Amino acid sequence: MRASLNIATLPRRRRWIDFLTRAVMALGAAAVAAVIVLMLAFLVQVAAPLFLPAAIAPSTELSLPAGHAKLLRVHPSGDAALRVDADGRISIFALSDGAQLQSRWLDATVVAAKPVFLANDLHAVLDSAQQLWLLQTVQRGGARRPSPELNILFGGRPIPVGAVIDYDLAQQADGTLKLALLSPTALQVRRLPAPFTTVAPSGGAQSHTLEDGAERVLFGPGGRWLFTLGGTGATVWSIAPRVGLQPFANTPLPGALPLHSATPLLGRQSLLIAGDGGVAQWSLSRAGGRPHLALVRTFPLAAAPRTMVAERQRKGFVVLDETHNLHLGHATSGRILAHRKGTVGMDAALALSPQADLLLALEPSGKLHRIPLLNAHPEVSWATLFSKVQYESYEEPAHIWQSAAAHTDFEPKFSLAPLLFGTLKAAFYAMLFAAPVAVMGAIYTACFMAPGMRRWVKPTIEMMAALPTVVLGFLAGLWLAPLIEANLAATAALFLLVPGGMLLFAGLWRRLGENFRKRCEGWQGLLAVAPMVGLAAAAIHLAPTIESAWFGGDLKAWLFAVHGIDYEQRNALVVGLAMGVAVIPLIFAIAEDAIHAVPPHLADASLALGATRWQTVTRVILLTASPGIFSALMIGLGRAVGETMIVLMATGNTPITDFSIFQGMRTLAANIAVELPESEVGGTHYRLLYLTALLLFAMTFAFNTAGDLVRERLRMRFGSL
Amino acid sequence: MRFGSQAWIWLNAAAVGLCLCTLTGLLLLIAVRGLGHFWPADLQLYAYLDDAGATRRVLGELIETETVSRRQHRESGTALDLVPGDGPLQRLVIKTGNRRLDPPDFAHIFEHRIESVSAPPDAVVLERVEWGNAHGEVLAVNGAAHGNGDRLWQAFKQRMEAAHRVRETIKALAGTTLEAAEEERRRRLHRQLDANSFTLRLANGRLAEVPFGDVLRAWRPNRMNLAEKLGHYVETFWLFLSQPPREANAEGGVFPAILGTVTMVLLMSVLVTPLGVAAAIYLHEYARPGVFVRLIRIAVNNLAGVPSIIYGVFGLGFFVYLMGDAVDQTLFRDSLPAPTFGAPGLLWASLTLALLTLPVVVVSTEEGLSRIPKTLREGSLALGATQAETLFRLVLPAASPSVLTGLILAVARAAGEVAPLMLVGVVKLAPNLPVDGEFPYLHLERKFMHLGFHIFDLGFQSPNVAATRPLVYATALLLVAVIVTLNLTAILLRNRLAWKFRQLS
Amino acid sequence: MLQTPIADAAQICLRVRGLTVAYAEEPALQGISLDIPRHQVTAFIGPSGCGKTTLLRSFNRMNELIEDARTEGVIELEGCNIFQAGVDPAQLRRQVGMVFQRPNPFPKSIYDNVAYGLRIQSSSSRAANLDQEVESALRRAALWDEVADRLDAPALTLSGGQQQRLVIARAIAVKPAVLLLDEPASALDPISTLKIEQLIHQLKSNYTIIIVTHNMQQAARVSDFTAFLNAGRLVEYGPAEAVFTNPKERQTEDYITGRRG
Repeated sequence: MRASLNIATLPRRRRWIDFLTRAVMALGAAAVAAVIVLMLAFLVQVAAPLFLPAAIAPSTELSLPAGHAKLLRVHPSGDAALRVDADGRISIFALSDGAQLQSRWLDATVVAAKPVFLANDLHAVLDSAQQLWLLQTVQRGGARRPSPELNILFGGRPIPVGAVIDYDLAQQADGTLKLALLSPTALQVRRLPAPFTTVAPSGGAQSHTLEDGAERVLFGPGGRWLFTLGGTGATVWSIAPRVGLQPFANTPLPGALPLHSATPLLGRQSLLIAGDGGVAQWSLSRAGGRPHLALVRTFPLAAAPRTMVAERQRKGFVVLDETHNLHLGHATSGRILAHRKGTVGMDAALALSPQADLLLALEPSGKLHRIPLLNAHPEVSWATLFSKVQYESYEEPAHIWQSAAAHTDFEPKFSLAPLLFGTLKAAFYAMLFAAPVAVMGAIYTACFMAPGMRRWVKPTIEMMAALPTVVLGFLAGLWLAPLIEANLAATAALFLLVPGGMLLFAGLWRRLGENFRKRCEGWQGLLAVAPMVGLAAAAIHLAPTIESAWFGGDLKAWLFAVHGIDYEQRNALVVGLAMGVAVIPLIFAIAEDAIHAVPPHLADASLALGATRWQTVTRVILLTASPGIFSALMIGLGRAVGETMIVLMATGNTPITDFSIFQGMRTLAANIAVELPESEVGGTHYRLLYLTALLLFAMTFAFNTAGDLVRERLRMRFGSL
Repeated sequence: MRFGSQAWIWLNAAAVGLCLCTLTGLLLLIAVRGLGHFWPADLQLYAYLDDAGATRRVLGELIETETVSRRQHRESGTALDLVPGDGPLQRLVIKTGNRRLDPPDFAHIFEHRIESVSAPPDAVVLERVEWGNAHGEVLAVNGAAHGNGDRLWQAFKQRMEAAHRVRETIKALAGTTLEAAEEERRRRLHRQLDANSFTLRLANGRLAEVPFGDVLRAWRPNRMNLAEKLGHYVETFWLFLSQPPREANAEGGVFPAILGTVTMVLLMSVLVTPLGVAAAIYLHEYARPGVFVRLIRIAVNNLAGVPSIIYGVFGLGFFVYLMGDAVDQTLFRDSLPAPTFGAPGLLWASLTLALLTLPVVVVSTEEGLSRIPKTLREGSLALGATQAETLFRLVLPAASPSVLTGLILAVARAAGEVAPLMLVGVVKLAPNLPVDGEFPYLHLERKFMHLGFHIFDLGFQSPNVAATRPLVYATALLLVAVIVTLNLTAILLRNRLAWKFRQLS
Repeated sequence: MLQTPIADAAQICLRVRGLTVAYAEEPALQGISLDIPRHQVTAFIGPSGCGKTTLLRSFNRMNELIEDARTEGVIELEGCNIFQAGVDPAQLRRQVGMVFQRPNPFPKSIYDNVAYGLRIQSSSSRAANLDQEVESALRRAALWDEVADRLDAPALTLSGGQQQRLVIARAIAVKPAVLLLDEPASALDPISTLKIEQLIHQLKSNYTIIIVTHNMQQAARVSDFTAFLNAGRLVEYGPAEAVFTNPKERQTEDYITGRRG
């Protein structure tokens, strides 16, 4: 009969399609899982290098002609260096092989040589004949084979300066030069014409006698200040054109005198001064009215520092101590980042490449050490991110986020505290408004609302969630913020009068006929609109009267005058309301589902025991649904923490740490939106923004997971009920 | 019932009422302000006393009436305060236009200082190529007064139409090659545009000679009846939808933003649908509960909770800088170092938003799949269908409305999302449209404009915020209308589905 | 314990030997061995949860769709072990059709429901042939007269009884050797039930039919052979008349006479 039923072989095509479908679907699922893993991994991968420890790599050596270098400086191109020797030889050599590219001799031996402050490629060399030579290295040879060339300015003629202990030069914005000369008895400032133009210097020479004597003179920030070091300490001088050369307070420099070594940090707000126990950072401070140098922090070292060199684009530095050890430090983060034991002779001249990724050490024997520095992000440490930091020209340590400024030599301030604070503040005020409204609304909708009304209320509030945040933010910033500012009293009255009035209304309601009340049961949500509108109208109407009766006619002015509360137009109140509107539907939907899912037999049992409906709601239903409500709040919080557009548009985005409801804030998310497009890829700022993204990710992940876990448990509980 | 219970119930009810009021209020606010912008409001001539006590005249549309407290009034330092009492004062905000001719373009007039208000029937609104609207009265065309008002207006209209035709010709020339003859012709046309002019009398009595080439449209609102106004309204609205923006987005339409949003959203749908549907199908149809499924569910849940800006950060770093750079290195080596795909653009924006909306599609599809009764699948399998055949012939067709719902919700979400786009491809003013007649027609690497970002840019980064505000409301209205419509469709679709499946099982 | 009322081995369509099925270590069937005769109606009866549906679903390997089902033993369909490695469940199910407790027409038209299995089996769609086969299946399921004029109407517009007959038509359209009916009339009204029972009678000449039922009268009416299962074990199996009129086992008698179950 039907002996041979074919049950074995499925046609190959069908089998293949079946297999392929399965594989493709699995691939899709795996891709979804991969997305989140990839996202997390990528954020971590970008942010992680911030925390790589810095290192001083082993050196490679080259042999150069012997000579005692007075100045060693890497050319901005990074492939050649300028060397000024004590015997008067000036040379430029290639960093790759040490080949001499150019060289010339001065007629006299060199006493000192230093770069000109605020100038590009200018160097001042003092010879034993008391003459100053201005050297320039110019890039020649086009873009293909660049080679620096040596020029002596002012027609190759030196400037006679007389007997000086020390000198310094700074270039002004107009190109002219200021020359400070320190002699044993006096400090003198001279003006020199701009090297390449015909701009003549303004003002003549100024001079001031020195009573205590000094060893070093240095121009301060912008070339508008002078520092003298030595004698009895450090003195700050002003060189304002009208006042003339005036000394301010003298600060003793304990442990640093007689002076070993002093190096200005980038921007010259701070000086690094070597002392017995290490290096100290002294900063120009205006605290107390008189500008002076104040001790900011110290970097203790085991051996006395010998030579120091500062980075050219960051506030970092390298110290060579008397035991031949190298130390790599960073001023703002207050750390010595790396050490390397004795490879370099004590008398070596040091130089850093412009990017500070290569340290040169040239010993008198002619031995040149090329030492790579692995130090991409010295500014960032857990302490600088989260603790108060003493920044230059600030009176006290502070939490500050300031990632960029107009000038290049500013000190980046990377404290995440104001951003975290702002994020939590915005979320707090949003939840303050959203949580009660959403949860109460959910309770009413789930427990009391007539089914006919519930059917359209739920989708309506769902629709609220669909409102684009950019529209909410725009309304908050351009409509609500000015409205509230103009009607602050009315706003305050609304918040007080409407809930209070509703209670009063409920009291009156009880006096209405039983029948009528029964008929309205379940529709109070809609009915409540009428008294609310009435109360709101009353509040707005009464506000000017109240304002003029108790607050002198202007609540804002009164707040400021009596309580010192400042009012910013785009403030936490506006953000709280706008973000509240964004968060309410989310919390409402989850909370309502949770409350509605409570099995009715629980409520029935309670009602059967004689409890009123409200008692049943609070003691049975809400208690049972509380994990669901908690989960709703958590998920709402997660949303509030990560919301970007509303905060961006409804606040002034100033990173302050003021909890006042009338002040703005800057949140992590808004900060990313503002700053990421402008940050340099791979830079510290860029990676830091990724770190903040990671932080935000972690925060929302925590809130969401907490919410999910609780909800899962709730589901299991109801499953068993 | 005791007072406590009753009070609580009412308070809770009030919370619901508040939500409903907020939503209705916001929608109304946007609708009224956004739609009002296109209405050809009457021009009023206000004569009022200025701070110096002299009479001034302005011609403009009433924007709103503000209430100013006495205190603010005093502090603003105006000397001439003639109204006794201490109640607040009313101040009119009037859009006078005439930037460049008679600045400023908004006048704030205290009601009590107004001497007379009239509606001059010949008052004309000119929509200019630059500097916004101008208000005044046309006195003469090319110096000739042309007799009575109507003949003058006819002559004016004729010249306007001629100028319009010339402008169209110039626009048509813009695409062609820049040969000398063409260039000459264009120059001649431009001269022609500037040759004809008319005399405009401003409210302050000054006369201004305005070339026809400077004016795009002109109308006399005070002479229009309701039908004409409606016609004008529709025309203005259509121009808003179909024209590119002018004057740093402050005037003109939003067409590129609409096109950009639509292109991006469509591209995103193409990317997100297969991935999201495949994941949902695997989770619901194939996977047996285990670690893998749990992991994917955690992933989907968390993807839904990750702030949108993080997607932007990821998109910028991973897609734009990492993948974009790789694409440039392999395919567009010639144009380096100028980036092709290594810069924010349409493709990366769509990909980023596809990731963002992935959970929406997955969740919605899964919900649809779970609504299909198990017995249906068994029925199919029992007929000798393989799982794939069951899927393609039975399950997917039945679940397709759910997939569609998810897709609509995803599109609505993507259309309203701005924060990530700011990082991965949206610009305030794109030089080229993402879709045009040039091969390959769809330009994946181009930056594009977006309605949501347009709102942000207009409202917060515009040099003249007061003048652009109506435009922001109009754009917001457009965006909200699109999103609300999409969501309503999704909700209705879902409700119909729920009904259908109740029948099935 | 092997019970076989069938003397002639050539008459055996399905041969079950030592079948044990467990769900998550919870045994549902234990050591079932029985033979099912060709072109006869065999009924499985027994109290709820006795394993009769599980046994039925073993014949077309539907149990495999349940997460943690584990099967041991042998089922031979026309001499071929359906559990052996080369057997494809889809191909097996084409030969062993199944009708479920509740009618489960697909959300498609009447025509598409019947054509569903046919379309899957044949890669190229032969339209004319398809029409014929659909008609023939509907006729054999005694539904043709009622739906001939509305083949394009959604299947869900049919009444419950019609839906169930549609599902039977759908199952027999692919010409299976065996038809499994899982309480096919339990969700139907008495008139529809009667129609289904008549249908079973008609179909028996072409198909081997196995029916699971709760309803003793129905089992007595429609089946040629009856198996009584209890607690996962086969208690008694034999010609229907014998089982109903003269049960050998006490348990069977208790169940049939309604003393328990």
